[in-house]
Amino acid sequence: MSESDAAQPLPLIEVREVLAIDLPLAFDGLHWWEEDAVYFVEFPATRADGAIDMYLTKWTFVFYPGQPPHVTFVNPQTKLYDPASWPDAGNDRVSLAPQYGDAPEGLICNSMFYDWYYYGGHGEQPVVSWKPGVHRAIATVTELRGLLRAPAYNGRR
Amino acid sequence: MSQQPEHRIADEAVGRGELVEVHVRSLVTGETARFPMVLEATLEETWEEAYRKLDERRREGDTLQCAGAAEGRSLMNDLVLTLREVRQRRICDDETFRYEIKGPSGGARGV
Repeated sequence: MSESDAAQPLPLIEVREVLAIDLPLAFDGLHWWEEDAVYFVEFPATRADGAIDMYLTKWTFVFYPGQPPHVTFVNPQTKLYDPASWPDAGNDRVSLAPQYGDAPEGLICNSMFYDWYYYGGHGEQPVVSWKPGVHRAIATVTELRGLLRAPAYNGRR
Repeated sequence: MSQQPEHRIADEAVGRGELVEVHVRSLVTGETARFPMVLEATLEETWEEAYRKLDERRREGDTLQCAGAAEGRSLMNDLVLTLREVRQRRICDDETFRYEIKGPSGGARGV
């Protein structure tokens, strides 16, 4: 990411204007809602036998669109971060660490997620990094959708 | 965008036959392009046309995949197939000519 483009958050009203365009595209076909600038999105996860598990994710967009969204898996009853509510999944692009170092809400280890840059110990990597002005939330959703399909998805923890 | 690609498609359509509507969505930006292609066009040609319609450039690591019924299925080993062959072989399970461009990302291993 370019630091000059991405270091400062946009005013909240401008972020909301961007999200009003981007989120319907990104979350198309998914059940999602907003609570005080926090977005909750349900994702289906498909096991190898075709069975479907549901996961609830929490999204915040403090530095968006200059930087990717922060995403974590939450307990569907409490809507709070809960390592036990994370799926067992991984592929060659994304790995999951429900508890990771100083990351307050676990780590989805992929360059389309905010925490990858700030808790994952990754620096600028031009090919794979989030590019301000290019990447939108759908790129983040795409990684989760790919992760939550067999063979990447193994089931619940 | 330039008129040239549409002229090219129209010329090819005369010589090569049936036109179909293709939908390609960028999974980087969320934008979708809808455009006609001749059935004898290859997936590689269709992919290139999609970049022109989306006003995007191909990024190192971009991939083309099915949308719709077989969402996420890679087409990278099928780029030489024509749209007619893709339909006949049901590469994407359906016949709706819907594809997605997935951008590069990384993090899990080796990057």
